[in-house]
Amino acid sequence: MSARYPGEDDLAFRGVAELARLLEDQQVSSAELVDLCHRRLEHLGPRYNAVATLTPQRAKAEAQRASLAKRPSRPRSPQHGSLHDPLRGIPYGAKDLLAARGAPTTWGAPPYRDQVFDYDATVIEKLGRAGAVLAGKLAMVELAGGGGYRYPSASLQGPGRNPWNLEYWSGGSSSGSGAAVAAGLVPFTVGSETSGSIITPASYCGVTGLRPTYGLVSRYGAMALSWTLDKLGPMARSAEDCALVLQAMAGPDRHDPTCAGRRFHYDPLLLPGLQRLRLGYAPADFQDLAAAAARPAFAGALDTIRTLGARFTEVTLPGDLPYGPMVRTILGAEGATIFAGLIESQDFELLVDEKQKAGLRADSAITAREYLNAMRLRALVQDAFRHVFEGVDVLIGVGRPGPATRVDEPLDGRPSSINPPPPSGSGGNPALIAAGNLAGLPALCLPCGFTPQGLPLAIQLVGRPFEENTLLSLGAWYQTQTDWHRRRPPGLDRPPAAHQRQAGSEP
Amino acid sequence: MMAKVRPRRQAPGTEQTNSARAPQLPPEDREALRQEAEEQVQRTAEALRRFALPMSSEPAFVFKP
Repeated sequence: MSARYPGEDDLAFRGVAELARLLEDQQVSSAELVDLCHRRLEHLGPRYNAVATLTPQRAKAEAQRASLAKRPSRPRSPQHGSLHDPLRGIPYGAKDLLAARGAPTTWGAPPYRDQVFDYDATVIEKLGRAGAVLAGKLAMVELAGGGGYRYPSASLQGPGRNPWNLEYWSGGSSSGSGAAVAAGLVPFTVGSETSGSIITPASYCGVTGLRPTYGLVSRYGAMALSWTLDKLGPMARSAEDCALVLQAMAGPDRHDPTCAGRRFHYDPLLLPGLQRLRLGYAPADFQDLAAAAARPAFAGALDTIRTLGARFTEVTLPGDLPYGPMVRTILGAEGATIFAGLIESQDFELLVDEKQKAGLRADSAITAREYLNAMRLRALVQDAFRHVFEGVDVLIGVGRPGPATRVDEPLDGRPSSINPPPPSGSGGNPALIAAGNLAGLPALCLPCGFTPQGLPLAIQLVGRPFEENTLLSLGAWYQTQTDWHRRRPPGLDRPPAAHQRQAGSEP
Repeated sequence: MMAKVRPRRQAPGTEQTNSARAPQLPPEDREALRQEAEEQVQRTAEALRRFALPMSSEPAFVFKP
């Protein structure tokens, strides 16, 4: 795909805040941005199996409305530059579990390939009211991986391929959402996380991803996998961009009774406030528990954060709580209930991944006692975090302990890049993703470097409920000290290499 | 929550990409996966049972009228 005009490739990798300023200054139009994104989604998207459906007519109409809408004439805000209307005219992609009026919403699964809703999910409505332009629906692991899945190919759209190396997985279940931002197809996307589905693709694709507090963002119109674990969140090129998107996404919704009813306004902490933060971490996460190839980047990230001058404390969650089994039981029981109709139907056999099918069937046998015990233990996880957050304000961990796995490598074994588990009692918070999701806590994933093979790595910041502002402020500061979030995958516009796969084929 | 499903009709101007076919596994492999999944559920249940909870501990979603 060749550029239509000079500087177009550069424009494709600009973030939301930068594009908003260009739109305000009329250096680019929304129609031009939408055209650029659609061309990249159409021509480059299949390279990563990132696209489920394009929505060109809708995008054209929304871009026109965005161009006609009058921008506020108030003076520019000093807080973050100028952005009173930051999403107006900005194209984005939505994970294909979100209903968008008139467009297929496949949930990444063959049984739902023709499913169409006649309404928008609340987050899509809210982003539309903020002026953002829906450019397309993005690929995902089928049913967000509810029953478990063995291979990245567990998707109607094929295996998510990593823009940094096509032989590697983009991560999931928000596979297309992570790849689309990394490859400069759209400036931001909406993904979802039940247990890892934003943090994993953000880590593997080298983009910034935010898992908000449970209940901050309405889930009306989103496929449910687990009523008590699902969250929707933004993936973008920076923490600031995630903050701007979250502002539009968050807030009350009468359609979603689980919504907390709280709004989010980005009010970044200034340097003195950041320096007063108490930061917790477990050294083992960045050393013994991390892949050898990842340790230098993780060490570098900690060194950078130390230059802030904030106080560092070693912190570990209780090592004896069964975080993984809790998530497995809660997700399994709720997911099998949600998809009971599918499991009992002939369409069930259409699912791509055999392990997913076996898992959903087996999860149907989880007893009420097992589920309730998992929920009782869950209260202990919340207590554990309350205790941790008495002593620290932010808990720092790794996004994933190592880089992306190969796209043909089974996901249920130990990846070859990860060392054998250390002796018990080695400390660390290896179950931080599971634990953070069980407690409904927000987490921000930040690119922090690369392996020697050129695969991205990330750290994650976990905070108290509804303290996204603290995480995003610290993340934004970190991104003034580093440029990992600005890096671009190599060779995006060169002709496909010999190993390039056709869209939708098996690896 | 469950999304509401309306009659299946694709709006003009939308384009669908990247349909993948489901790979077929031989019956013995499917049986092995079935057993593995059931054993996983059992192992998970045992891991939860090993953690003794006081009788007074309540689930994380205690009902409030």
